[in-house]
Amino acid sequence: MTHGFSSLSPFGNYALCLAWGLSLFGVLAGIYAGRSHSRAWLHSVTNSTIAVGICAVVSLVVLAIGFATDDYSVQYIWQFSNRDMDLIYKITAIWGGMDGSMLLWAGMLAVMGALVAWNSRKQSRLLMPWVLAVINSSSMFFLTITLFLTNPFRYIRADFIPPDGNGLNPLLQNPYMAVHPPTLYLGFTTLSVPFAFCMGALLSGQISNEWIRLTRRWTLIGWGFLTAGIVLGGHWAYLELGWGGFWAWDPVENSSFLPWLTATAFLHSVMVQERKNMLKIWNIWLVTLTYGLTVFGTFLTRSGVVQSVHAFASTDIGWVFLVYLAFLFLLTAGMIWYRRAELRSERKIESVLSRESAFLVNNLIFLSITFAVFWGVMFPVFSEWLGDKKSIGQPFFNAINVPLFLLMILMMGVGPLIAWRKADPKRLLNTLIWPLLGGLALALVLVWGGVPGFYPPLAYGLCFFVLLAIGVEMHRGLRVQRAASGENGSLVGDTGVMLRSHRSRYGGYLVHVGVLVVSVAITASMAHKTEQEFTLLPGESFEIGRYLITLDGMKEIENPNYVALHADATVTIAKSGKFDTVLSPELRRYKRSQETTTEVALRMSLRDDLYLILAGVAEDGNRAAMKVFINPLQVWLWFGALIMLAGTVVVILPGAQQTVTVAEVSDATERA
Amino acid sequence: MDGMLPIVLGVGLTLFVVWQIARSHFISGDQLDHDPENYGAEQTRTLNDQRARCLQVLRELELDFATGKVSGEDYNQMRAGLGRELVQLVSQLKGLQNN
Repeated sequence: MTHGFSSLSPFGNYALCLAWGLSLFGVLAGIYAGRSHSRAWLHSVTNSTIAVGICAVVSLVVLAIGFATDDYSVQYIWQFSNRDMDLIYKITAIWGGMDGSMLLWAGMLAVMGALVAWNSRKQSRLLMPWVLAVINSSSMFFLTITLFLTNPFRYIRADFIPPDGNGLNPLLQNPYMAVHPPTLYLGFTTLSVPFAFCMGALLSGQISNEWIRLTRRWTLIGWGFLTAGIVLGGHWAYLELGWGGFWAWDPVENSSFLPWLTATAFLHSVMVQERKNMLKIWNIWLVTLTYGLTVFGTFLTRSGVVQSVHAFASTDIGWVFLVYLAFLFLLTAGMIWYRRAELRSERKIESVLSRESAFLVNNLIFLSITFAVFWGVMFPVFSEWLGDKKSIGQPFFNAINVPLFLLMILMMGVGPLIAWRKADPKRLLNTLIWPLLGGLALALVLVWGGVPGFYPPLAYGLCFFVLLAIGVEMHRGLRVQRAASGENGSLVGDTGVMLRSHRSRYGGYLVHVGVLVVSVAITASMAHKTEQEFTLLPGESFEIGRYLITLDGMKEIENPNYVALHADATVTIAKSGKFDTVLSPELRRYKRSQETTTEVALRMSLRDDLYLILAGVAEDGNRAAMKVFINPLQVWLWFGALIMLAGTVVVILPGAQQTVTVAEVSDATERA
Repeated sequence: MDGMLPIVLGVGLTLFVVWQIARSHFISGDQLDHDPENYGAEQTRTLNDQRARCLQVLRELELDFATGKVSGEDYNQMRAGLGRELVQLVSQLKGLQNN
């Protein structure tokens, strides 16, 4: 063998072993510190948890160095990299296969643990040992899989070091793949923190709302990363897969969507617990479900139980995830039963027409969507158990989820305006009447204007209703602020004060506005999409919508990595004949893998996207076979997602909450 | 690549983590409280954060009451609860300052 200590990989593997050993120590020492209340052991487990993060990062850095320096003595690097790849894609190749992506996951989880440990010094000494024990157990689970089942530092099974590697799947050689998986993993791993605090609270018996308060920001950050990861994945699919869409209800897409749904439900229901000390058990289950679904997603992509364009090859590690999931749910159920007396709600929902009920309905809608998506993903497996394997596609998911999403949008309008405990129906109707009439009027105008179908006008009408409801809510808040300011306040100043004083609330509404923009964009691009296939000779034109596409020519381009068939097409506005742009789609064949990819040419505008694909050369050898899509309002989907993220940042950022005056404290304490 | 480098790095990393874990068992309890950061200052910061959050919840409650989303009975009940929490936090802060 020519390999041995010729590379840094043994050090990477050793750091991984050390991380595993430290996480085991963290679990045991955490339990001991929790039971004995020993400060020395708490200090020790805090430091060991930070050390797990450091060792996991060292391991990841060593693997990255191996990729950057073309160390083909390591099987994984040989399998997913080659010398012709740009450095960015060599680094991206770390998560191009299962072994590296498991290490990335374990590494990020360990870093989250280290951050929690770092902050634990200012938190409860009764709670934190248990929290750290739980977070170390999560790290240990993923490190066990990485170290013993999918070790990325294994040497190549050959008597020589190959001069070059296999290279990365061409579809993954895209800038979005450099950020999409890590962002998604950041979301998944951050959402393990609320679970750790929740379990820590149950194990330690510190069952106040403290764990909710401590994890609120973690949950929001995790949710934000997950949202960003899902949208980045959608954008990658839109640009790279060449089918004109961004979401196909693919099992792997769904696996990231499932925890997003339950995390969103948790973010809402937690407000009821904070305000009214209700839904405690419900929230524990939501947190467990969210964490469990992130693990389930990994099971889905690694076990090979379902077919997906994204899934890794079938492996035999799926059962490990199933055992872990079973353990998680049994542990949660056991702990809830053990603490049932302390978890009993102090109050009950008194009226169907109340904010508490609205939150519960919101949660039930989210969980219904979760169940529908889960059922759709697992249906091939369930049907195979019954002897006849069947899969269900987009029509099923759309048929079930579109009405549920519309119901959710309706609740987005009603929820924020309804009173806590018991709403007065007359008063509620007075508040909602104008938004309702506005939404209804828009839907009717659209139907009258010829917008086809039942759902699209309903969706636009509901979105407008919610927008007006948010406007009403802000107007009411402003009126209160204006009254408080008296004659001294200006409109702009009072608006500023109102937004700053209730940043979380209005940040949340900004997220809702983002959801509305996304909803409108999805509705428009699904309902009013146009697509056509055609062939053109150079000089010939094809008209679609308001565009005229003229083929200027086709040529073959040679690149070290691939051979491309390249077309240039001039786009003019059909009505005026005015030149608009030149689109240049390509069809690439990668030399090493012999895989073919389409490089979409895209003309984006606020009104629509013109999406042009070169499918190949028609039978006569001279004509370009092309496919074109016009996706209305598509760009608003990405803008809407940015608004959602901006709203999340507004809620997360520290600021107004910290600036409390002594007078306010005195005032509040006096009132008490 | 120098063949000894992984071994040297491995030994260095091991020593570092062993020291990190073990050092808390070689120092006294008082030092643990003040090492690596001043525990009292951290406690004060945590209590201040909690106080700020409590006041924020109170502000939200005031707005909900003013816009008719909380009944008078609920408002009084919740405000009293938050007030009690604030009193507790302020007395804890005072206790820390006196120490």
